[in-house]
Amino acid sequence: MRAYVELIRNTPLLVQLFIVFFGLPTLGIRLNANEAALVALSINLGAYSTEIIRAGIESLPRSQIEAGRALGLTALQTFRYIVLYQAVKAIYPALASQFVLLMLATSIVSAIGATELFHQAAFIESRTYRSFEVYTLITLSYLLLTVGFRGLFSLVYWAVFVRRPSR
Amino acid sequence: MSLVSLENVVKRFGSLEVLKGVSLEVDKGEIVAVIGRSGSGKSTMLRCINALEPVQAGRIMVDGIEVTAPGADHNKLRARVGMVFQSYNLFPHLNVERNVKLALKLVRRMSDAEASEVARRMVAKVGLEDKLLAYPDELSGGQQQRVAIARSLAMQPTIMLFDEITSALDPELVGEVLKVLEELAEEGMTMMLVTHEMHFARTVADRVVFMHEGRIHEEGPAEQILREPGTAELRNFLSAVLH
Amino acid sequence: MIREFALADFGYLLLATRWTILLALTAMLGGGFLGLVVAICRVLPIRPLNWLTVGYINLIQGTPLLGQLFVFFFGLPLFGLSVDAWTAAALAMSIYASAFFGEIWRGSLQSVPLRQWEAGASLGLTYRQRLAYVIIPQAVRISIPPTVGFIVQLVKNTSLAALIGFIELTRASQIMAAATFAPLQVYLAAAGIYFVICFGLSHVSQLLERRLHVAR
Ligand SMILES: Nc1ncnc2c1ncn2[C@@H]1O[C@H](COP(=O)(O)OP(=O)(O)O)[C@@H](O)[C@H]1O
Ligand SMILES: [Mg+2]
Repeated sequence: MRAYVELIRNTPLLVQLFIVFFGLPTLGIRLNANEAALVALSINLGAYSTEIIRAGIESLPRSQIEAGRALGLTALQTFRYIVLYQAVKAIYPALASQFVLLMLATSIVSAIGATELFHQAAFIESRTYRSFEVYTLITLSYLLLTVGFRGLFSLVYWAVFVRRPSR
Repeated sequence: MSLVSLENVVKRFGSLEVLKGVSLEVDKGEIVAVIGRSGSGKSTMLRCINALEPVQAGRIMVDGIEVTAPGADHNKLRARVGMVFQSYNLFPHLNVERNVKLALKLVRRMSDAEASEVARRMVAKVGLEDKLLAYPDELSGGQQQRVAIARSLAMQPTIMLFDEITSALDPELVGEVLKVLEELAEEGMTMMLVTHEMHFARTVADRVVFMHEGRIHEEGPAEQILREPGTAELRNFLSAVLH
Repeated sequence: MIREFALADFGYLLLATRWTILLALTAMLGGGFLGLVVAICRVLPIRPLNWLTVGYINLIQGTPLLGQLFVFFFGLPLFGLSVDAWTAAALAMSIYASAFFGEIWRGSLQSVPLRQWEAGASLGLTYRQRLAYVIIPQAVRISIPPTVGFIVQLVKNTSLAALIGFIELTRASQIMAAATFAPLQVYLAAAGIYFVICFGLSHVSQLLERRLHVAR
C-alpha cells in the first residue's frame, strides 16, 4: 500500500497515462483512450486520497477514541459517532483541492486523444488556425470549472460542518 | 519619583472597554503583585505599560519615558522594561545562548564575546549553565521559562513585568521558577507580576493590586490586604482561589 | 530503426533527463523570484495590490498548466516573439510556480505565532530586526516541507512540456518508444527515473525537517 502510494505520488501522471495506454497492450491489455484515461486518473487519485485519509485519521487525537470507549461505546459506535465525523471534517478540504487538481489534470488526457476539452481544441484548431485564441478560451473555461467546484465544495463544507446541526 | 506611573488609563478593544481609568504608581525597588479574576484586565495593563497595546486615553510614564506620547520611542522603552509571558516565548530556532545574545547584540550593540559572557552569566543565574547549547524544544516548561527570564534580565531592565509566568507549568515545575523570582526580589529588582500564587504574593510582594472589571478595585500592603480584604469582591475572589 | 530497448537507450533517457532537471531548476529559480514578489504583494497593506495578487494566484492555480503552456507557446509569437518550446516552457512554468511558491511562503510567514513578534518587541528589537532575526528564520523552516513538496510537483509537471514538443525525459521516452516498439519498458524506465529524483527530494526534505527546530 505504502509502495503504491509512493510510486504514484513520485511519478508524473502523464507517464502513468502512457504506461496504461501505450504500455499495457504489450501485456495484452488493450484499452481505448477513454478507458485508459479513466484507469490512470483513478489510480492516481487513489494514491493521493489514501495519503490524505491516512494523515487525516492519524491527526485525530487518541484521546477522542479513548473518551468514546470510556463512555461505554463499542469500537464500531466510537468509529461511527466520534471518529468518522471529525476525520471527514479534517480530510475534506485536502480531498476537495485534490479533486480540483485532478480536474485540471484531465487536460493532459488529450495527449492520448481522449474526448476532453483540449482534444476538442486540437480539433477546432486544425480548422480555424486560431490556436492561441482557442487555447486561451479553453484554459479560461477550466477556471470557470475550478471556481464552480470550489464554490460547491465550500458550500457543502459549510452546510455539513459549520452550520450547527439541527438540535 | 515613581518608576512607573499610570494616570486614568483607558483601553478599549472596539466597543469593549477593558481598562476603565486605571491609575497606579510603582516605586523603584517595589514589588507589586497584580491579582484578579480572569478577564479583569491584568494582562492588558502590563501590555500597555510595555506599549504592546496602544491606549485610548490617559498617560503612562516609565522611567522618565512618556509611553503614551505620540511618537514615543517604544523600542527604547522596551529595551529598559523586561517582560516575561505565560507562554514561554523563546525563539525556537535559536539555542539558549543565542536566545539571550540576540537582543544584546542588536539592541545593546555588544560584541559577540561580550554578549556571550553576559549570556553565560545570566543563564547560570537561573541555574541552567549546562543547557547553554540546548534548543527550546529540548527543555521543560520550567526551564524554558527560566531562560526567558534570563533573556530579559540580560538587558539590564529597570523594571520586570511578569504575566502569569507559572500558570502554564506543571505543578512540580512552579517552584523552580518562583525561586528565581525570589532571588530577583532580594536583589532589589522592581517588579510587577500578575500571579495566582497567593502565598507567593503574600511573602514576596510589597503591595498587592486587586483588579476587578477593568478597575483597580482595592490595593494595599500585601500582608494586610490578603489577610483583611476590604471589599466583598476581593473577599469572594480570595475565597475562590484559596479553596 | 526497429530494435530492442537496450542499455544504450536507457542512457539516452538519462541524457534527456538533464533537460527535465534544467527546466525544473529554471522554474524553481524564476518561480522562486516571482513567488517572493507575489508573497510580498499579498501581505503589504495595500488593498488593491492584494486583490490583484489574489486574482493572479487564482487565475494560475485555477487553470491547467498544460493550458498555460499552450497559451505561451502559441501566444507569444503573436507579440512578435519567436519562442521555441524551451522558452515557452521555462516562462510558463516559472509563472505557474510563482503562484504556488507565493502562497506557500505567505502562509509560512503568517503561521509564525503573533507572540513571537511580541517577544521580539519586548526585547526592544525594531520592526526590521524582528522580521530579519525572529520571524523570517522561523518562516523559512516552516516553509521547507511544503516548498520541497511543490518542487516535486514541479519536476513531475515538466513532463507536460513534452506536449509542446520540448525534448525532455517524457518526450524522449515517446521518441524512444516509437523507435523500439517497447513502450512498456521505456515508460517504466522513465517512471523509474522520475521516481528516483522525486523520492530523493522528499527524503531530503524529511531529513531537513527533523534537524531544524521549529515551533510547535
Ligand atoms: N486583543 C484583544 N482583542 C479583543 N479583546 C481582548 C484582547 N485582549 C484582551 N481582550 C479582552 O480584554 C479583557 C481583559 O483581558 P486580559 O487583560 O487578558 O485579562 P486578564 O489578564 O486579567 O485575564 C477580556 O475580556 C479579554 O477578552
Ligand atoms: Mg492574563
